[in-house]
Amino acid sequence: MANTLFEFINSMGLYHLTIGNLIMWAIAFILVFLAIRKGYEPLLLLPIGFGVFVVNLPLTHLMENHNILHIFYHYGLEWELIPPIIFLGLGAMTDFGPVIANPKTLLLGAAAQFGVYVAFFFAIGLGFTIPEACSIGIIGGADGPTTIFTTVSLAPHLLGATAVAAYSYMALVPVIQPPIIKALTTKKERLIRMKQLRPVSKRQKIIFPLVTCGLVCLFVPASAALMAMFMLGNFFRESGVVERLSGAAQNELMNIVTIFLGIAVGGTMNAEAFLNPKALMVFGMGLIAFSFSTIGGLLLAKLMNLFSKEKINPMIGAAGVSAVPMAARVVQKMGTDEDPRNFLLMHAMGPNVAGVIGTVVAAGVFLTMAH
Amino acid sequence: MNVWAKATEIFIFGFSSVFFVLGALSLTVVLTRVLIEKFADNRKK
Repeated sequence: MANTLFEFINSMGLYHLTIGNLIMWAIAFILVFLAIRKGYEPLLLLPIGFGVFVVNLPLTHLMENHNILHIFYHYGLEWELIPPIIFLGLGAMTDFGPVIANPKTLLLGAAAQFGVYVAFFFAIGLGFTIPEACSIGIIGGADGPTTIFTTVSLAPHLLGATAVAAYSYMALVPVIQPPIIKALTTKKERLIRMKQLRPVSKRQKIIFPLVTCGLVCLFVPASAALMAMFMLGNFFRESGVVERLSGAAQNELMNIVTIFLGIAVGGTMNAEAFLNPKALMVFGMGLIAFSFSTIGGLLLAKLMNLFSKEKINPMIGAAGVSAVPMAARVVQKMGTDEDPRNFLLMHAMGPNVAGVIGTVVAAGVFLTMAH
Repeated sequence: MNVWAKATEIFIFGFSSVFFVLGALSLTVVLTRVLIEKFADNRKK
């Protein structure tokens, strides 16, 4: 009888609860709190938080073979299915008009990858391996799906930390960027008004995804999965003849895979894997990456002003951090704070979407060279 | 290969690739615009 009672108690999760599980519950609570109360990336942080909670319930084995979270993780992430599908939806939502109207903003998107490499070197300095450092560095691209795509391939044991860092800092762009922008620009620079963007024809918008996909994939084939899906989504949008497909990509499909992505990422964050100094360091380096990406974009914009007759407001360089459209909105707000009639949103959208392409290229090179 | 040497290699190839690809894309966008405008102009004439 006593033996049966002991076995019964032993079969309860409660008996196996550890301090680590409790700490992870607290982390889950913080993520859910940020999502609900602060509205920080709720579409991702809410399912991630819930995933963290359930995977830290002892004896549930949700992330073991043939259990639900493992199935989402295995087929969605290990098979590299979900990030490209999210990119399909993002492509269908993205208007490349500002980039086509002012192509030099593509260079600002490139400069804003600076933080990727700064964090990469920091990570090496702290003793991470090269594949791990690549996964940490790519957080600086401020692009969740690309971070996940790279980490799953190069350092899957860091997936929880890099994904949560990427999405958390993306949500914190309005807090991280303004002090950096103010420190690196003068009031005179922040007051620069930019000429209204020229109109872009439908034909140009249709050709853009084809040209971009071809060009990027020819130079960096490892980025093809993300880039091809991104541009397919945009091709759906701009062609104007497949509204149902475009709608499905940006709504139903995107929503479904977002659920799978969130809960699968949360599922990787069990106490044993997450509670270690490496995860904390990943968070620290994520902040470094974001900050230096902002600096890279700003400095190139200032440099371009030295050689160009038509001045650009250097703040739009900071939007090259590809947190779309958050970074562009930050620039818009800072612009109107200085001058209520200075509208920078559309100008900032150029480097903002260019930053997405830049991050995919950076990830492609990491995948090619770090294996 | 030394880790730092490999890291430097990745940085040089990576960052320059980002600039090269986006720079090439920038030029291609300008070129496409010129071609389209020329083509459209010719059709109008």
